[in-house]
Amino acid sequence: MKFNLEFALSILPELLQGAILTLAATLGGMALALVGGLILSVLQQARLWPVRFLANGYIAVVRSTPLLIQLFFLFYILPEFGVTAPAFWTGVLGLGLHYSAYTAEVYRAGLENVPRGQWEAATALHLSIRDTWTKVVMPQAIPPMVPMLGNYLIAMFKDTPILATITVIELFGAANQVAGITYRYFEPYTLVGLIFLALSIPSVLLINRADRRFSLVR
Amino acid sequence: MNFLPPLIQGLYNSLLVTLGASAVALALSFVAGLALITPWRVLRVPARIYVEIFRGTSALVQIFYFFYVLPLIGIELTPMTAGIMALGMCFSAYGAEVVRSSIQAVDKGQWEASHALSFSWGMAVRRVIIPQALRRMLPPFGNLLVELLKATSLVSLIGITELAFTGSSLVRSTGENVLVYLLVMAVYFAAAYPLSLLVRHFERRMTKAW
Amino acid sequence: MNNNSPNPTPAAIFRDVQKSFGENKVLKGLDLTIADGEKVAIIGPSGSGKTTVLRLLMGLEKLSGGHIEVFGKDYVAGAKASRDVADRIGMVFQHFNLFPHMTVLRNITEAPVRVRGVKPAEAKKRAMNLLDQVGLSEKADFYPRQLSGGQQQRVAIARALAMQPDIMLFDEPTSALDPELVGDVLKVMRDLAESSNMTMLFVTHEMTFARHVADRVIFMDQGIVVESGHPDELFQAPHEQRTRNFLRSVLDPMGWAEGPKDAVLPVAPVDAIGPSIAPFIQDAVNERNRAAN
Repeated sequence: MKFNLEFALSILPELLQGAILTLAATLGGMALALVGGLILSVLQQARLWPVRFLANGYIAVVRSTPLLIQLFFLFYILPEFGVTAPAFWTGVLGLGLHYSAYTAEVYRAGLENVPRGQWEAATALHLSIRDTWTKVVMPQAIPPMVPMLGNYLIAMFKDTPILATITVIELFGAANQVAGITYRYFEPYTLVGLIFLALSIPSVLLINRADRRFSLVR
Repeated sequence: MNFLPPLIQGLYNSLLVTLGASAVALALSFVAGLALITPWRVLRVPARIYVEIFRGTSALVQIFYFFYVLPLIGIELTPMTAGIMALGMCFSAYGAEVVRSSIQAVDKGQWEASHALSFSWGMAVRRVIIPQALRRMLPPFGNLLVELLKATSLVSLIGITELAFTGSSLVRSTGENVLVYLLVMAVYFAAAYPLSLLVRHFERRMTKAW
Repeated sequence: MNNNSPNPTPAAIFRDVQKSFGENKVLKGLDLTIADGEKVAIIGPSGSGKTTVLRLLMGLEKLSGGHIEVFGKDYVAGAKASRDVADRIGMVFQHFNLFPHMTVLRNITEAPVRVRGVKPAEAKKRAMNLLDQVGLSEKADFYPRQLSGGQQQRVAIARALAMQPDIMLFDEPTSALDPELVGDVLKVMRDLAESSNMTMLFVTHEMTFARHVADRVIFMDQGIVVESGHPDELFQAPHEQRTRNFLRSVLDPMGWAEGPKDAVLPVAPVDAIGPSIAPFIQDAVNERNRAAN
């Protein structure tokens, strides 16, 4: 069987429409994960041990179970609570909840990256708590987080095809649809692969550059 | 109805897929990872392309590609083989980067000392560099193994009756969706969490210098 | 491999050697001839290119221009044809670069056994001899991390010697050591220099060592050889102002020495190879003051 360029071009608009949904889900999921991770990492530092236990437990469970099952679970449990959001939003929520468990660790690692001596120096200079955070700690903690968060953004992007299993017609879902109707697999799946490469390779290069730049700062 | 026996059977198959795919991944990680650091361009460039293709696309897409597209160009694979090969190659791309970065993390002075003692490149890699890099590789390889175990859930979508597939069939036959998926998650957790604890234990020990 | 009669062919010749790292020109047309069996100390400020001279000879860097000859053969780092020549050179590094996953003994025997095909038992016997020479025979089964920096560097010297090189390169061998550990390493190198007919190149900041162990001292600055001569001459009557300035800044960093600012400062006496030269400077200065009164 040969790759039919004409057919490939004819299905491209449909796939690109799916790709837009893919990007939307990625960005939405990442926004959720950035906030969710922050909340989790604050809860991890809570004074009450049950709070810490719950936060740590959440992270452990989410990181030890597949996103696929988590999405199925959300897909079925949300209606039980009377939430009848479109599948797309269930998918965004799933991605966000899943990756919160990873971004939380990034925040923690970023803070631990700041040497203790920096806190001690800030204390010795009688800086206020506010200045210690905004002028000393954050400027050192945030740059190394950027590439780490970027890597999770790309990982999430590559996880979006799983949303197709809960009926979201993103890029991969669109390809499945085409394949299901035409019984042609070569062109749609190859195009999906190419579109993924076209989007992820530049992002990886960008992150590598960020990584190099920020590591020079240190 | 007791859901656990079929789920345990499903886990068994998940572990088989994990085992097969990790064997493929481990072998290819070293092949591609070593190729990435050779002084020879003819090996580096293809290895880089291989790694970027498999890292740049989605595991699920790769599984579908292996299962639906490869037969069209004459490569007929059973679902099991397709799943194991796709996951193995996908994770070997990440593994190759682990191999590469662990080797490059070995102090440059070790290469220079090997050179000063007239070791050939291969001998330096085998006798001096790899033994030191292996320690660094262990934790990231362990993390990849955990990720791989979770990723085996994706082969349910090409009809392999592993844990996720078993869960979905139980849901279809009983309608107990929330309960079943909770149980499925519990089983995955029981398998993956101890593994990640083990990895963390190693990680802490690795931070001790030589 | 060592001949007992001195070889008329120089051990190494540098002709108009250039080396750049990107925009940064480290060697700008270096000319240098090292006689067979000669012990040469290369001194100079950091960034003068002295370490690069050794690294080029060891084949750790590629030439940007010029020629290097080793034992009369055109030498191109990394080239197959130069492999035999490169095998005759050994190196001791600033940071020792011992193999951390091997015992001291295996660090020394690994290359002779794997590269030269020496029988393990024979290699071990020779390694124990070498360890004895550097005063560490009881540490054979230790791992490098269990040794002090000074001990590690002595093992590294033994490891390089085990390959029986004709040329030994020492790249700031004591710079990474705690001051109290410097002496033992210097003594090992001095004994080696006095007892062997190997060609030896030392890049060092230990002026006492350079003054009393080397046959010739080379002062490098900004990528060229500024001055080269017998240690007595170079340390006591340097011709070049740059040499004088450098020696002054090393021997009297605080500017405490009295007398005219371009006067030549004495280097500590030969038996003073020890922890640090600083105390001896003060002694020498005091002595001169007494003589002046």
